[in-house]
Parts: sequence; C-alpha cells; structure tokens
Amino acid sequence: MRTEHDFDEFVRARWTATARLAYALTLDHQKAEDLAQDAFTKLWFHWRKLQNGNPEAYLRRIVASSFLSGRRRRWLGERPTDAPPETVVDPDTAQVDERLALRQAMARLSPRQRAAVYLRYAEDLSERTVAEVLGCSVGAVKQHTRRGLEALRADITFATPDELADLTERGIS
Amino acid sequence: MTDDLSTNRLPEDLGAKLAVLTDERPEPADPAAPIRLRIKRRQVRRRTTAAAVCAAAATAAVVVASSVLGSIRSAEPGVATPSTSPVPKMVSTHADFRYTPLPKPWSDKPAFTTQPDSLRYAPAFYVARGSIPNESWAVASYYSSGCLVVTDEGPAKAFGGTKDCFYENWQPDQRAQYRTIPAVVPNLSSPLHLTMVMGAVSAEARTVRITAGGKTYSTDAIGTPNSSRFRFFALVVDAAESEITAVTPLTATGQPAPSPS
Repeated sequence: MRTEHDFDEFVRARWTATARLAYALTLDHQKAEDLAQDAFTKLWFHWRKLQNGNPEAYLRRIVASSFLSGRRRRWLGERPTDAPPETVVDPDTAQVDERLALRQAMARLSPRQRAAVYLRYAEDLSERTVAEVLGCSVGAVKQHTRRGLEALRADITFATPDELADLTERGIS
Repeated sequence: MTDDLSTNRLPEDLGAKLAVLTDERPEPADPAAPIRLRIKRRQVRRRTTAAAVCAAAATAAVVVASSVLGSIRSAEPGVATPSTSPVPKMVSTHADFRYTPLPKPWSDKPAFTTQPDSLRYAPAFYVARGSIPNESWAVASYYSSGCLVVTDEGPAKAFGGTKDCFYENWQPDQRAQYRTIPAVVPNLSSPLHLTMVMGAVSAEARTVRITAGGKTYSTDAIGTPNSSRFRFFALVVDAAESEITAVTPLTATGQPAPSPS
C-alpha cells in the first residue's frame, strides 16, 4: 500500500510536466493525455526497482519512445477524404493566435526534431540527457535540434522586428 | 545552451513560448485515479492473457492427445475414429464482462474523461477521435450495447456530451442508424458549419461512406468490446445537418453491408 501511495504521489507531482511534454510532442490534448496516462501506467510496472533511482528520467523515456513508436502505427480514427476547413480564430485573442501559430510551427517539425527542441529548450535538459531520452547519439540530438530551430526560425512567429519589416516590404507577412 | 547553437540568433523566449504552447490544458482533479484504473485493467488483461495461454495450451494438448488416441483406435478394425471437436471460440474478458473480438477495424482502447464522475460510462472504448478549429473531440462506445457518447475529456465542448443508443427500432432493410450533432462554438467571428455524424452499422460492415454537402467522406466502422452485433462510427463533416444525404455501410469487398441481424 505504501508503494501505491508513493506512486500516486509521484503521479500527482509529475502529471503537469509530463502532460506538457506529451502535448508538445502530440500537439493534441486528448492524445497527450492518453500518452501521459499510458506512460505512467507503464512506469508502475517498473516502479519497485525505479523507486529509489530516477523515475523522472525513465518516465520521459517512456513518453518519448511511446510517442515515436506510436507514430509508426496506423490510427483507425477519422479519415475524411476532403480537406479540413480553415482554422477560425477570434482576432481579439492574441494569445490564442500566438499559441496556434507556435502549434503550427511545431507541427511542421519532424517528431524527433520536436522532441529534441522541447526537451532542450523547454525542459532545459543537456544534450546527453536528451540523447538518453530519445535513445540516440548526442550528435543526432545536435542535428535534430539544429534543424528544428532552423525550421522554427524560418517561421514568421520567431522573426525579429527587422525581419518582419523586411517581410512586410516584400509583401510576405 | 553552451553549444554552438547559442551563437546563432535564437528566439530568446523560445522556452517561454513553448510554455505558453503547453499551458492551456485541462487539469484533471486527480490524475492518479484514471492511471490507477488503467493499471488495474492492465493487470486483469495480463492475468487473462496468461489464463488464455494456459487454456490454449491445455486445449492443444487435449486435441493432440485425442488425435493420437484416435489414430491408435482407427488402426484397430471396426473401431470408428471420433471426429475432433472444433476448437472453442476464443472469448476474452475485459474488466468485469466478457466479449468476443470482431475482425479489424477493432478498438479496445479504454476511453477516459477528466471529470471525477466520468467513469460512470466505463467500460467505454474509443471509436474515433478528431479535431475541429480550437477543439478536439472523441467518441466512445460504452457498456450498454449499441450506445455512443461524445466524451467530455479535453476542451471539446462543441458537440456537448451527446450520447445516443442505436440498439432498437431497426427496420428490416435499414443499414445504418445515426445521429447528427451540429457544432456549436460561441464567440467565433464566423459560424461553423460542421456536423458530427455518429451511429451504428452491422458487424459485417468495415467502412462507412457519408455523402454530405456534395462531398463524400469515408471512415472506419469500428468494432468494440461493447457489442458483437454492431460496429460504430463517428465523423465530423464540413456541412450542415440538412446537407447529409446518405450514410452507407460497406463490407470488406465494398458492397453495401446488410442490416444488423
């Protein structure tokens, strides 16, 4: 019972960070919640041996590997044959605008690039730790991060004021 | 950031922006509760799988033994060989009830919601998930055979918590029973013309073709542990309710599926 209690406390303590990571990877609230719950569930079956180690690191690795392996499986859900409608956003909600723009920018990254960028810059993990989480080399992490940032830099959301002026002059923005 | 990337002009507030991105999420009242339930279900499934493997091994042993005995007996003149009895249909258990899996498309993925009283639908299983502007939605079948519910997890409010059942009032030649739910999203600068179509078709169906607003949509007919008679479907179409003109279940060969027996 003590073990279960400890695990439940761990879930409550780490839920928000884990759900954030899952959302940054999936960019979908429901898939993120599902991924986070699934990761905690898998963690439970290794809890006894991890309890005195570093369960946070193992949890991150489960989330990342479940996400990356899940991308290779076919989803049996909605499959419309027509293009979805344009996104409708209330023009007054600037924060929603920013969130949607960033979400779209992140969606353009590959899954590994997205994971590497989020773990490096949102969770502030070292390249070595990110490599352990993603199960790849430090060099691969550098490459994913560099390419991810290049793609994000190209996005107008992250342009500097000078670049915005330049884009405006060229009629791009 | 001690690597060479820091020498490039990075978005200085990338960390803050990523925090904003992941900020707006529904927080469950107690995240440990649904995880505890998942763990219990997985433990049950593990035990069930172990029991099924043992049962299968025992059955195989009996079949092999009987066939060996039969071959010995058939070698004796005038002794008839007993025919091998068919292997019993595999029936799995899930949580507290039994079900027979249908051929794919199949979903036994338990559906959860973030509300404290959400488990009143359990056991529920995802049928389909998708998104509309600013929202995600999910539809699950739940314990009462032939019923669907739009789950209340996540921020999906456009379709409410609509639920409906499709297990009665079938006409002899009726191929599909469905419900349409128009999306209602307040405070949008322009109205949405999106409609959810969710319903049930016979177990013989594999896909469902929907014609709406002059366009044709296709989605899987999903079998779930809740019913061996029906498969379920849910889809959001870019059309008003009145523009939905046909809902046709199709078999694996592309022929119209029959009415549920």
